[in-house]
Amino acid sequence: MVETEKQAAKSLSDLITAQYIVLLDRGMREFLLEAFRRALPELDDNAWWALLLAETGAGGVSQLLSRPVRAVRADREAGAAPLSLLDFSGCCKVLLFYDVEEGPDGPRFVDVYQRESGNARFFQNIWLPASQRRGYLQAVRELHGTRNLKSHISGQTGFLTEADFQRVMNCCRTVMLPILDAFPEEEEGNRRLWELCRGWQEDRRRAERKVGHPPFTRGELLERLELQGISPAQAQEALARLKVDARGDLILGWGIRDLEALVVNLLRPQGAAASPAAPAPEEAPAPGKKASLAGIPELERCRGAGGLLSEEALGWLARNCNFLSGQSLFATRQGREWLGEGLLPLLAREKRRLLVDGSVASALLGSAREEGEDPAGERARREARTGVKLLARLAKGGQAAVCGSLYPDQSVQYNLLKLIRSAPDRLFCVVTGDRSVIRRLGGPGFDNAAAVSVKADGTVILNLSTLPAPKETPAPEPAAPAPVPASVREASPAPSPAPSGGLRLRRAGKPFYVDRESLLASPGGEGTICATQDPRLAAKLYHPHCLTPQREQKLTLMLERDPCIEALAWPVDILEDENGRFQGFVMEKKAGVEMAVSVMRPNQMTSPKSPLPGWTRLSLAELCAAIAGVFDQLHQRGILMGDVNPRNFLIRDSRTPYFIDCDSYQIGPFRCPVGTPIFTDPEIYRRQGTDTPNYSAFDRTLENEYYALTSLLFQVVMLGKAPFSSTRGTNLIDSIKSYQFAFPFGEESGGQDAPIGAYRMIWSHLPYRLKEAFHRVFTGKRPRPTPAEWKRLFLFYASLIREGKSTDELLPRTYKELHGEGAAKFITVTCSECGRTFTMDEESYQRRSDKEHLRCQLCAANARLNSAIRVPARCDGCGQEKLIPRGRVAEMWEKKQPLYCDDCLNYRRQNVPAACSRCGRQFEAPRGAVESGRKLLCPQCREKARAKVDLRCPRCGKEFQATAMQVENAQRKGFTLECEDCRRELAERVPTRCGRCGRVAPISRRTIEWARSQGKEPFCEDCLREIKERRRY
Amino acid sequence: MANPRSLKELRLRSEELAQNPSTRVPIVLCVDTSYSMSIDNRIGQMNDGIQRFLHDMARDQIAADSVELCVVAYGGAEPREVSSFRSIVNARLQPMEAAGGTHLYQGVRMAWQNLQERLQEYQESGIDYYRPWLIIIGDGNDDSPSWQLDRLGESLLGETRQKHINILAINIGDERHDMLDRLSPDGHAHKLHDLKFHEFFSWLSRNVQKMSQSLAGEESEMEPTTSWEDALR
Repeated sequence: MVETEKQAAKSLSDLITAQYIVLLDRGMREFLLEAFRRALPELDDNAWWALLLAETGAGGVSQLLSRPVRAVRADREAGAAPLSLLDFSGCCKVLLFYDVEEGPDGPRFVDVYQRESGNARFFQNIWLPASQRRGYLQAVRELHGTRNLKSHISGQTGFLTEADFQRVMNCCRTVMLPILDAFPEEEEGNRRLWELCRGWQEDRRRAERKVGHPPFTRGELLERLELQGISPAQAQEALARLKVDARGDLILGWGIRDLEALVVNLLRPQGAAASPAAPAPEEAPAPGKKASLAGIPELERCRGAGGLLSEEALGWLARNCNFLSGQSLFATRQGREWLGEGLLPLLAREKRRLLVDGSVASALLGSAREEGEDPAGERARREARTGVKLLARLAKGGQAAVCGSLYPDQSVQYNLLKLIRSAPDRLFCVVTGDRSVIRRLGGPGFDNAAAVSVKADGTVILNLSTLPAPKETPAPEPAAPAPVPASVREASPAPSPAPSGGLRLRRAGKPFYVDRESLLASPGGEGTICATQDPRLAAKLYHPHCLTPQREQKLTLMLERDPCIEALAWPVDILEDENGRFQGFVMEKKAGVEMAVSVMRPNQMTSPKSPLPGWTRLSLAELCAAIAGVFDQLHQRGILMGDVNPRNFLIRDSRTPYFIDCDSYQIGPFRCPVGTPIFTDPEIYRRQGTDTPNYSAFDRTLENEYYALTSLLFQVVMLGKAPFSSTRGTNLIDSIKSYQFAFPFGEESGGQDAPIGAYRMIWSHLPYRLKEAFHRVFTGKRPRPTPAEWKRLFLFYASLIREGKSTDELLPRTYKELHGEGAAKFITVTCSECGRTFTMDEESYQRRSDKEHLRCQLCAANARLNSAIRVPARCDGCGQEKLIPRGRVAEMWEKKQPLYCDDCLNYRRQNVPAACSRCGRQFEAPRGAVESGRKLLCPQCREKARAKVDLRCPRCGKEFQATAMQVENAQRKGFTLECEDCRRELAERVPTRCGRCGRVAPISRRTIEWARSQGKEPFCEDCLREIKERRRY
Repeated sequence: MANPRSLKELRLRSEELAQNPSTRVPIVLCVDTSYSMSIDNRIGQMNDGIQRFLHDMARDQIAADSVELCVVAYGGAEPREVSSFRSIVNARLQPMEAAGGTHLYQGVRMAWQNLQERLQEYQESGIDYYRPWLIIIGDGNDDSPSWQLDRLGESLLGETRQKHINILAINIGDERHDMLDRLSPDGHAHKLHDLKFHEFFSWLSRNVQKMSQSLAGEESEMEPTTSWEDALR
């Protein structure tokens, strides 16, 4: 606030000038238009034109453009886009002063101020007192040329006041920051935009660092207070009294604790006072007075019955505790039954109400409304819907009270636990089946609460672990050194085991023993992970160079903002030494198979000694859905994993992945300092300008996380194949940055270098939607699928596998052929090369022209390799050493035929003139044939030679056919032609006694017959050879 | 030139690639089997070392799927491939004997060609591979012309600079081996201290194991060579 009028005018004009000019930058403008388009998707171009051209009494939106209607009409003829005609102030005006309403012909704008009768009201809404109006007008005039006061009052200008401006900026900020990534920084017009956004982010970060969470806006703060039942007037008064530091609309320095102090009195014991009175804001719960459920006889007696909740225990709880409900009480049939028959009548008797936190109500609503395709979820949705109806009925009837949740965007578990923590002087009984809540309630700091659960068979139990122990048991001492036998005492003192260094748990305030010798994982760069005195807990002790105050603050924040997700090995307490110095932290111990050595290794998974025995593709799909589900939960709490890589996951079974190394997650203002190359968003490489980014120098965004998750899920489904690899010429990081995704999708072939092989087969079997999503991300298109979408996709994939519509093999052996709906029929064929049988689908078989020579996949792959890979060999044609396909080299070597390089082959294949050896005519024949000196026939002679002649077999008398050539040859050489069968028979060798050596040897029938016809005994081959040799000499 | 591979062998190779698509670590060992290697039973110790290396690799689950070894021996008129690229569990290595002259250039050339052929096979089958290793072991006394070696050394150096290959040239003889020096990336061949083949192959198996466990794109650092190298130059 400033004193004099002149100063007021000056500062205002500075403000307007400075900010207005910045915002008119092209990048910002486009940004705003984009934000606009997204905020009002139901308006298409026609609707906009209708608005711009509307001629109503107040002038319509075209007045915002300060252009006459006919000019606008001309623009429309010229084909301009309607949104491009709006300038920044015009846009802001639309956002502020116009409402979109459903009209008879579709959505339409309604002038808010018109509704309030009179544009004069517009002027009354600005905060400028009359004395400052003149200065304001001065500034306006200087900036934009002449405008008079009258027209400004009558609302015909397009210029804004500062308050309006701030309102718009806040609106822009919420829309802009999430879509910032779509406007790359390097582009010219976006530079100022980024400057502005960076300024915002800096403010935010500073505020966050102070209070540990994103700062509230004024509006948010008022809303939250209102939800707690505090009237707006009281809230405003309280805020004014407390002198909050408001930067524009952002309230800096006001944190959740301050908010807690305001609302904690909501939970007065329900007796005479039925409605919560608005408390004075400074009133905090009386410090030091802690209620506890330790040692209550009625509850302790339940221990004997195995935890079954007795009537007297339930009665005691109903008298003394505030009952908080979880989701299961409404969402399951057993829960609802007990609610109606057991709990509610009791509460009514004690004149209490069941308290339902707002987060529970919204979670129920969310489950009821969720859309999905898997039939298993349908039942859950139906239950949720019934629960919602019941809750509504109870709330109306006054038996249940829905109180606004402290953290509407956090989970049910988080809210319940925070609520209990915020009122340590009251007793609570939580009705829930959620294991993570029950576990937390059994831990330190929750002595004032116990958990009751309704089991699937309808019995109600008191979770004994949540009752505090009556006395504190001291931590077991480190094992005392074994007593030394007296005889050895003089020799050397027995070595005592190294003491644990006297570590303590900070929150629980208890000594805690950590066994530094028993390591649970190989030592990492930051610290070692060891077992502790508690078999459920593991400890991470940092190396001395990692014990920074920043790490300590990060862990403290993590303890406060525990997301209560079962799958995480989240820190539960900090370890400190006797002097209170930070040493490390304690987390739940998680056991499982490391992902990096199991799922990511295809040969391991398909071997009989697999680390995950019995896993099929269905298990992979379920694992991916589970992982995506946990990511979704993390993001809802505003936590990013950051370093997504297979080493940070342990697998217990296909539905239970464990996330370890949680201390490197990005939470609040604390960044994740590490990363892995193949999981890093290419935008990070681009933005940091290096192939080895310094991960602790920037905040990761949700977009980065979506990319990392996609990369991880891809590698799980593809059994370890990375989406990008270094190929000939490019290295890995370059492939990533240029989005060279090698797998084909739709029309795109994925490039000529698409790898063929096992991974391509897996890819071809993935459902269309999954391929589309992967392809979208790895070719750089937006929007990237969110974790919730991935979960849906993978549940869908799992259901396809279960129904048999997609293969369940980890490494499918055949490609999936593309054809229409319905299962294809498969037939078994024999490979013409290796003789193995393999299956082929019928349609493709019919499509083949050559049904005789069919190759199985392995033979086809072999043939491809043999023709693609060239080795140096000497060509028999040109005599040089050249690169020749190795298949040809091997074949010619085995057949003992000449080997030719490609050039020589082509040369030999060229047609040259040749003379027919029979008729002498000239014709064309391949050079190779001509040069070989063989006798060649012209086409006509060849045909004649191939003509079939009918003959009778001289041996068996059957009629058969032979070619003219064969007949001629036989005549010339002096032998007779037999039919096929006879020839085969004669060629067959039968064991016969040789007439010369007496051995029984295989001799062909022909030889036998001929010999017999000559009156001699047949000789075996060796003998015949010997005779031939002897004749030579 | 040596006999080409038979059709049967080609088929076996392609089947193996089809059945195991894991990312590979190809290693080529180019070793001297000339007559001079019979001094101090150098050849025998080297045989032992290689066998132990194979044994270590076969024992490690992850390395057994990834590591592939090819041994090229240059001793005598022509270099020959003693063991070709097959999966470790299928690798059969006959003990080598020392005889003949030394033709380093041809040996390294054959090793290089075999490696390129293997890399091509990987690329055609859609299999990824970590950075290959080319290890040359010799004891001096070479019969190769130096100009050929110079040219080869330059192209190898170029490949190392582009991070396409890890080259180790190891001199097990008593004196400086000029030829090996020319082939080494930094101009000096490593000198094996006191025929410590055992330590060398242990060092190699540890590094190779670490490499086979790394993720795509990660650079795993090599251990220092102090356990087997003679630091005096």
